[in-house]
Amino acid sequence: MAKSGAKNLRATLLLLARLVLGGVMAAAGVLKLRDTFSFYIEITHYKLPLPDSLQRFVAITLPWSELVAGVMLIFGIWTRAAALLNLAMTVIFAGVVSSAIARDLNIECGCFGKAGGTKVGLVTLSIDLACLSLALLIYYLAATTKKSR
Amino acid sequence: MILLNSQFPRAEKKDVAKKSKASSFASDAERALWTAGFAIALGFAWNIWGPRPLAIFDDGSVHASGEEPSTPITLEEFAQRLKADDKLLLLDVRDDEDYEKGHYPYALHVPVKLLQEQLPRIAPNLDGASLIVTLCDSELCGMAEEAVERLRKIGYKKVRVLKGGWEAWLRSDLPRIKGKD
Repeated sequence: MAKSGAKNLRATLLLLARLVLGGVMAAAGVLKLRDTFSFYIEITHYKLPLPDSLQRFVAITLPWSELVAGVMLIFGIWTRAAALLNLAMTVIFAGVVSSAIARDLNIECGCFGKAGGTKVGLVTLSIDLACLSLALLIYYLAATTKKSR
Repeated sequence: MILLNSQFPRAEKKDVAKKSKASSFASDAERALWTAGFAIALGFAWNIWGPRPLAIFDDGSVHASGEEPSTPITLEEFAQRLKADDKLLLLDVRDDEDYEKGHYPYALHVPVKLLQEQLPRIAPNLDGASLIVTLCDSELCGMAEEAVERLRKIGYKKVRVLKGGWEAWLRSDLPRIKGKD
């Protein structure tokens, strides 16, 4: 009985985490892909020592990666793989945002395209870290819960 | 002897469990890579058929769908044309702080974030220019491209980015002064 309760709790927690992270990532992707050029400009504001073509590549592909990984989490398709992909993205985001904070760049985050207009700072870093933790939690729960993929 | 025998299956079980976990992670990682590949393909398809394509290589155009390509102007070309054409306008779109550290004495300074709201004030300068050249910190800063994009949207077609930005300017012998004006 207690075992079944714990199992239900884990399943509920997994579902909630999937919906929250999936929703955030899918929304971030949709808002960015409406205007690839503006997103590319946002990326260049980070002044990363990367070739211009690589920054353009990221602007073209990142919104769809977020959208696909988000939708997969929402619908529970390849949950662990989707969690890994989200984890990889959030680790990179956290690194890039931390580097912008360290260099004291006064720039827009660009996390949700032009929507919101949040400046890069501790709030954006906290959101990234929260998403990173959710991705880890989802992977752990999905890997340790039977019948999850 | 009995104890020893019973330990082998346990060790084997642990080994099998470890291997299974590792192969499960490898399979998840492989699926994640497939998903990323799928998303990248979608991204490129969207970039070809979507509303605002972006060139993957900087071919000098602001974006692939631009009706009139805008090749970045090199500093050498800019310097030559500056001598011959007094209607050439340099639009410095860097922040106040960077501008005050050093700028071209005849530049029009409008930070890119204020470009939209300052347009009524600077419109006469823009209208009278034979070519508007936008400048920001460096090749990577992106603000000059953003300014070009915004100006093109409202109808200014003769707009180009200064290749290399202020970093390139500093390597040249073109005039520069410090301060607000």
